[in-house]
Formats: sequence, C-alpha cells, structure tokens
Amino acid sequence: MRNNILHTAILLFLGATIVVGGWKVVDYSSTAGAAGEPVNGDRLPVGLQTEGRGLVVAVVHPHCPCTMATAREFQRLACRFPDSIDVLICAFCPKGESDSWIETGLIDVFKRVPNTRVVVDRDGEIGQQLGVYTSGHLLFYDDRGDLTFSGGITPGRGHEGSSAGATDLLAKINGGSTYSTHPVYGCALRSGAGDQR
Amino acid sequence: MSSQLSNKTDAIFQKRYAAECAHVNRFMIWLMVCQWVAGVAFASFLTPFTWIGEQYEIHIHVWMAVILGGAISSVAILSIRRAPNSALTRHIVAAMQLLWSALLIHLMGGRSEAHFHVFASLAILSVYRDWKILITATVFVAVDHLVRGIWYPLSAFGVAIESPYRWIEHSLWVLLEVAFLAPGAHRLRNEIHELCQGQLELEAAKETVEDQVRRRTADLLAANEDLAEKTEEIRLLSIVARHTTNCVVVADADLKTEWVNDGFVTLTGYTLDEVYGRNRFEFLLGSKSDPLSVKRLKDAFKSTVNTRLTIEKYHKDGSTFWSQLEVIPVLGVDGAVRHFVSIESDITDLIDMNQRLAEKTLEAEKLALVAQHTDNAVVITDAKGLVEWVNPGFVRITGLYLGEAIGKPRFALQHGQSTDTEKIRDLMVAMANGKGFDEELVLTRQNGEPYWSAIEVRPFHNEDGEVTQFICIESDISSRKKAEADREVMQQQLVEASHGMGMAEVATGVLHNVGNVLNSVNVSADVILNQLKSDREAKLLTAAQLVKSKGSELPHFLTEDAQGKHFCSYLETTANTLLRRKEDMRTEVSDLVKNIEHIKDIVSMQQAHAKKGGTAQDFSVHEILDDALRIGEASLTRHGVAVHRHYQKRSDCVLSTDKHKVMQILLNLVTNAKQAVNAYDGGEKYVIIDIAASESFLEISVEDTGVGIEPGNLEKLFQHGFTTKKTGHGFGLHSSANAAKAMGGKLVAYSDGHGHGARFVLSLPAELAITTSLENSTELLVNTSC
Repeated sequence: MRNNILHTAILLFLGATIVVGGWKVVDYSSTAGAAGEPVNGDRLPVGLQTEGRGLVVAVVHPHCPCTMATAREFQRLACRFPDSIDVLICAFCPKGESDSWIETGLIDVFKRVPNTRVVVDRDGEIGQQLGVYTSGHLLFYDDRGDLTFSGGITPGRGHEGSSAGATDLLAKINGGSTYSTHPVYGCALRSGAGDQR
Repeated sequence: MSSQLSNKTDAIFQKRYAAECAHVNRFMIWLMVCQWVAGVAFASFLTPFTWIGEQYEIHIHVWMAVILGGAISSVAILSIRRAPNSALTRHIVAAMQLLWSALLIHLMGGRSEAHFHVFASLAILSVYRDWKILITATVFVAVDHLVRGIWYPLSAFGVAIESPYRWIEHSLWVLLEVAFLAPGAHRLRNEIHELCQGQLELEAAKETVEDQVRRRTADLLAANEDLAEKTEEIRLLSIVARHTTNCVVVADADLKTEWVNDGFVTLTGYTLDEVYGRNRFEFLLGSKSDPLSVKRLKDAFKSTVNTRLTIEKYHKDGSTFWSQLEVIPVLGVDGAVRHFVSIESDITDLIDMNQRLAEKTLEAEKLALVAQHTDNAVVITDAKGLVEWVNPGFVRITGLYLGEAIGKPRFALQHGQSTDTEKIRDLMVAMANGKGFDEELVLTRQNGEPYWSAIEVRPFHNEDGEVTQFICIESDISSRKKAEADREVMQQQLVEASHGMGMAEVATGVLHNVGNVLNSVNVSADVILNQLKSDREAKLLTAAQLVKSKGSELPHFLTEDAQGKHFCSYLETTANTLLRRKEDMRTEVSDLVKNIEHIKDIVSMQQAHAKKGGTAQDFSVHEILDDALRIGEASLTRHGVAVHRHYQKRSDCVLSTDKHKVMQILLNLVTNAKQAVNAYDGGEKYVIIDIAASESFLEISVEDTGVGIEPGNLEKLFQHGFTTKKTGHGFGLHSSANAAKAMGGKLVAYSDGHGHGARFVLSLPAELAITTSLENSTELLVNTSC
C-alpha cells in the first residue's frame, strides 16, 4: 500500500516534470529574439553595398547552436537564389578574440552557399549599425540597395522547417519589393537586447 | 472447446504473454535508458551552449535532455517495474516513447529525419503485440499536434499560422502505419493464443495417457507397498507372538488348542505337543483357581468381544501363578467366531508387590500414627533446614504452633539464655552440609521455660544422593537430666560413703593388726612377768646365806659335805638360769619395743590414708601395694593365706593421682581375694600380686586361688548391689570400678569359673606415671609372706 502511494506520487511528480519541461521547451523554442531598427534606415550601410546586385546579410553568432537551423534553411533557400544575389555573413566576434574565433561549423555551412562572403563583425559593430540583436537575423537589400526583408527564416528557435520568413525572403529575392519583417529565433548578439539566450 | 479448456488456454496464454511482456519490458527499459543517453549526447553535441555576445552558458536543451528526458524514461521504467504485466503500463510506455520522439525531434532541431523516430517507435511498440497501445500512440500524436497546433503552432508545424486540420494529416500518417501494425500485432497475438491452445490440447492428450499409466503404476505401487507392509506386519507380529514373554494361545471356535508360543512354554511348562488339540480348560486350572474367575473365563470363550480378567493358574509342575489374560475372539466375515486368541502374562510379582505395597502403606500409616501421637517432637525440614511439618508432640513440647514454625530454620527457634548458641551454630552448619547428628541441648519453650532436648537429626537422600529433607526427632529429657544430676549427687555421696567405709575397713585392719601386736605385747609382758615371778633370785639369796653361815667351814662344806659338793654346780646352774632369763627378757623387751613400733607404724599409715580423696598425690606403686598388704596382713596371716609379690624388681613408678582411690581399690581387691581364698577349701591358699606395664596402661593384678566367679556373674560383678557373698553389699567392686573409671582407667575381672580362682586387673593410664622404672627384666622379686 505504502509502495503504491510512493509509486503514484513519484509518477505524478515525473508527469508534472514532463508537462512543465515540455511547456518550457516549447515556450523556449517559440519565443522570438529582439528586433531593432537599422541605423541607416532601410539603406545598406556604406561599404557593404554591391552595385547592381541584391545582397543578403546574415548576422550570426558563430557559436549559436540555434542559428544552425537558419544556416541549413538558408542553404536550402540559396539553391533557389538567382546568380545576382550576394551573401554577406557578418560573424560576431568579441573584442578580445582573434578572427579565428568565428571559424565554426556554422560559418562553414554558410560558406557553402555561392557568392558568400564572411566578414568579422568585431564586437558586433556591424550588427549594431544594422539594428540586429539576434543571431540568425537576415536582411535583404535589393539591387537598388533598399531593405525589403528583415527577420528569421526558421519556424522556431533552432528548428528547421518551412516558415513564413523563409518563403517571404525567397519572394523578396525573386522581385518582391514590399518591406516585411519576421521573428528571429536565436541567441542574443549582445546584452541588453532582450537577453535572449 | 469447453469453457474449462478455454480458461486453461487463456491461463497459458496469459502466462506466455506475461513472459513475452517481460522480455519486451526489459528491451523497453534499455531503450528508455539509451534514448535518454542519446538525448543528452545529442543536446550536448548539437546545442551545448547558448550565447549573449561573448557570454555563454549551458543550453536549455541540455538541461531538458537530462531532466525532461530523464523524467520520460523514468515514468516508463517505473511503470514497468511497478506493474510489468498491466495493460496500462504498456499504454504509458507507448505514450512515453512518443514523447521521446517529440523530444528528440526538438533536440535535433526539428530535422525531418528526426521524425522517423515516430514511425520507428510505432514499430517498436508493436513488439508488444498489443494493438491497443498503437491506438494510444496515435491518439497521443494527434492530441499533441492538436494542442500545440492551437497554442504553439510553430512548435508543431513550424509555421505560425497553419491550417487547423494539419494535425489530422500528421495523425493520419501515423494512423496509416498503425493500420498495418495493429492488425499484425493482433494476428500475432491470436497466433500465440492458438499455439497455446494447441499446446494445451497436446498436453491434455499426453497427460491423459500418462495419467492413466501413472495411476495404474501408482495403484500397483500402493498395492505392493500395502502387501509389503502387511507382510512385514505379519512378520513382526509373528516375532512378537513367538518371542514375547507373554503367553499367546490360539484356539479354534471349539476351544481346541491350535498353537502356543514360546512364552507359554516358558511360563506354564507345557509344550505345544502336550496341549495341541486339548480343550483350553483341561489344563492350567485347579482347585486354587477362583470358581467365579473360572466362570468368567468360560464366559469369555463364549463371547464375541474382548474380555480381560485375572485368575490364579497352575504351572505344569503344580505350582501356581497369577495370570492376567485377555481373551480375543477372532470373527469371520459372517460375524461368527473362528478363533480365540488369549494373551496372558504372569503378574505374580505384581500381586506380591501390591501386597508388599499394601503392607508398606499400612506400615507408613502406622508410622504416621506414631509421628502424630508420639510424645516426642517430630519436625520435617527441607534441605536448607526450613521447617515443613511438625507433629502435635512438637506443639506440646515447644508451645509453638505449626504456623509459627513453618518456613523458619528449625534451630533458629527456641533460643534462651541457657541455650548454647555455639552448639546451635554447629548444628546448623552440619545440616547445611547435609549431615545428621545426635545432640542434647537446652532450648526454651514458648512460655520462656528452658528444657533439655535430646535431638536426633537424620538427612533424607534422593536417588542422586542429594539431601532433600531432614527429619528431627526431639524428646524432652529434662526429667532424665534431673535424675542424672540427682544420681551424680548420690554418686558423690556414695563415693564419700565409700571413702568412709574404706576408712572403716582401714581402721578395722589397723585395729586388727594393732590387736595382734598387742597380743604379742601381752605375751611378752606375760613372759617378762613370769620371769620376774621366778624364785631363782631367792634361792640365790639362800645360797648366799648358807655360805655366810658356814664361815670357816665353808671349804670343808664345799669339799666334804655331800650337799656342799653340789653347791657349786647349784650356783652355776642358778647363774645360767638367771642369764638365760635375762636373755629371754631382753628378747621379750626387744619384741615389745618392736611391737610398739609396729603399732606406731600402723597408726601412722592409717593417718596417711585417712585423708579425704579427690586430690592428686604423688606416691610409689610398690609402697601403696605394700601398705595395702600390710593393712590386710594380719587377716591374711590369720587365715593362712600366702601372698606372692610377682613384681618386677625395678617395676616401681611414681603415680600422680588420687591415692585414696587407688588404696580403696587395692584394699577391696586384697580383702576380696582373702575372702575368696578363705571360702574355698580346694587347695593351696595364696594371693599373687603382679605389676605390669604397657605403652598405654599400668596394670596391677590381684589373683587368688579362691572360689572363682561363675561366667554369668562376670558381667554383673561391677553392678551396684550385686554380690556373691552372704554378708556382702554389692558396693565394693562397683565403687572400685567407678573409682578406676574416674581416674581414666578400668577394673576388669577374669575367672574360669567356680574353683578356678579369679584375677582382677586394675588398669591405670600410663600418663598418670610421672616417673617410671618399669623395665623388662627377667629378675623377679618374689617375696612370699604369710
């Protein structure tokens, strides 16, 4: 009898742990990071612009595991990019770290995308100029240099799969001109930006 | 199929399915553990840390893999452990497995490959062969997607806004697999069930044959065992009947003897041949057999029930014995008597023992009466001396009641001022050591009156030799003690009287001797007086006057005259006569002086022995013997009794004891010897005095040749008042013996009977001698005097 009660109590405790843990995981995956405004408005910052070509800027934290889902989704999307699209990966690197700090598997995935260039975003200055606070945040500037897309391309944090952001980015690359934003799921690039981890 | 077979099939199936479940459960437990380890590994590898700029910490996926994954696996494992065969457990396991699918998909970043885990899980769950849990899994997936599709569509479908029916699509895919898996599982389950049924039917058929064989075999074995047991029983009964000391006689229904055992032969003396075919009543019975018992015996041989009785029977040699027998009729199936078996035993010893027991009981009752009514006190104590029982005599003597004495140490009671507590302590110690004793001591009655009690305590031992009880028999001997005290006083008085009488005896001897001496003195005086009366001096005067008258004629006269010629011879004769008389008178006077000295010695000796006895004096044995003989000398001499002193020459010694008592004894012995010799005319009269010494005693013997003592009188000789003399009082030897005893010695008489004289030996302890010259010497001083 006592054993039954003990077993039942343990099972109830474990059940509650599962419910709470499950909710916590779902909630964690579904919570988007903070989104900011570019310093230069909807224009590409000087120095990054490529004349007559569209540019996808991805601001990433090289060690953020959640961004791997963005990278893989981006790979899938990149297959459908026209050749006139350049990709710029701004890899966050802390001030005291060397450039090699950004050499991770995540950056390697991005590098496999054609026309991709990786720059070191020392201490997140580029991201700050772009108004980006969350790793995995993508910006698309059309061939005129206008920002038409801002946001993430994953359905959840660290989750691959079709999402509205990915679909919209592909649409913008293929000629869409209306500016749109989407939630970004990933690690925070600096503190004070919602402290999303 | 009968319901019984169906139930058995279900039972076997359940058993087999339970074994199958146990196997799958073990697999599922391992799976749960492996999934947990894999989950933690995936999370640690894929999402180890989460970052904010340059800061990082462990990713929530790692924690969730550990905690949430652990919880999922634990629920499944715990359910399996708790109720491994329960259907609910299987449903829980199914749900947890699908949860693991969800968690792994999540941990792996929602990769489409990870979704295969769902379908793999369904296949794995189908191993349970329980299609219902597949439904549960399907429902769980459907509900999961429904719920998350409503609240967190992003987590379920990867899009923020999705069709409300997309969960149905996911569920249908799952259902599609389940649609194939579930019937398969059900079919497999049924196949097992059918296999069980087939196995059961096969076993039933096999069991039927084997059971018949087994039953037959068991019956045969049982029959064999019964037969063996019966055979063994018969063998043992045969041994018992043959070798028992009891008589066993088997007779047929007509009482003709058919068989007897060895016990019968041994007891009665008859052999089987002698009694075979004879009627049971033709032997063993006789005139001493009680007719009533004989009748009962005959009735027993007519009865169909067992009968027991006791009867006195006869051996073959005519002697009788008491028999206790049981007559057992052996009935046939028709109820008629086929045989009579009689078993009888010789209980003569038992009868005798009962009689002795009855006698002992009677004796015990009498003893109980004695204990109850004796004037003596009887006390029974336990081994520790605590009173258990007292008789009325105890109450009468002590004034204590049973209740006052019970449980108390016997000799802790009745103490008074006169009680010798040291002796009481000794008694209690003796009882503590399990020893008996006899004692006389003063106790005190309940009213405080002291009394003398003679106590006899004897221990009772059990078979192991341990003391279990003490019996104390106590008697009030106050009267006896008083009589002894009175007798002591009387004894003292008698001793004093004896002393007086001894002194009288001494005085008589002294007077007798003095009288004898005085006779001599008188004779001497008469002789002297006669001498003095003689006229020889006058004749001498006449002769002188004749000489004077003759004057000048004297020569003529002397020479010529006839008368004158004889005158000179006359003077010579007269002078010789006077000289002879003078010599006689001198002799007489000398005797007279000697006799007077003798009288003086006798008087001195009497004075020496007239001292009161009781104090030790040092004296010579020879001297006191001489004194005793000297006192009796006159009497001995008068009666012509010779005294032979056979002392050893150097056998004198000095004794230190009551001289008066020794003198009294010796004087008695000498006087008795004289009287015995005087009373017998059979020969030479003499008394022999002897002294001898050993290591322990100095022995003075007085032997006479008198009348002797009859053997029957020797024992009574020293009793007070016994005498063989007409004028005796029976006191002399009695007091002499007591005196010898008082000095630590003894007085013993020896005689070969009438006419053989007697010998009295006074033995005195050697330690009384303070100096001794007793030596072995062959030179004897033989001094015979009359």
